[in-house]
Amino acid sequence: MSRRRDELGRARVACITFAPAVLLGAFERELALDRIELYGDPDRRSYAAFDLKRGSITRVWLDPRVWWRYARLLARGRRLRSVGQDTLQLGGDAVVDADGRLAWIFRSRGPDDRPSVDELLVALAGARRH
Amino acid sequence: MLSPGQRIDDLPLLTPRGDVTGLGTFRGEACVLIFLRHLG
Repeated sequence: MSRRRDELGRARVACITFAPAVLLGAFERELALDRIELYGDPDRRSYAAFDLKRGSITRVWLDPRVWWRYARLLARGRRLRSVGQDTLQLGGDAVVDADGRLAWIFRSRGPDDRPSVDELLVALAGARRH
Repeated sequence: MLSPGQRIDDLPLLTPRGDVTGLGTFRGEACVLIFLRHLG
């Protein structure tokens, strides 16, 4: 996403995490996010509102697709760390239009299940037409 | 379940500096929300 931020134009891009608030600042500095905002929601109220589920242990930890994704991250030099957070909580991606209405949503079914940036760009273009 | 076309509630969010803001501040321009899994 960071590499293709320019393609999103003036749209605000926000990452939301349920990590403890004390970790937000360090995470922001570590990632050096460019025009991507970071917010915390430790109570997961927004996760519940967008109906983002928790996965099963089988899907989150035993699925070969997940291990393949982690293997690719490790090959790129990423370190895996013990996080002490709920690893079963799944994420998702949403596009909200200028009136504050949900225009599009992708609810992950597993850790490896995310939309492509191209899909986000199409959804964003659709939201701007309304 | 929240569906396309429905208005988003102004749910509270924390900034990295500890301030409280909300999803309502995102109005005025289309935006992308990326809900992360765990950090780490």
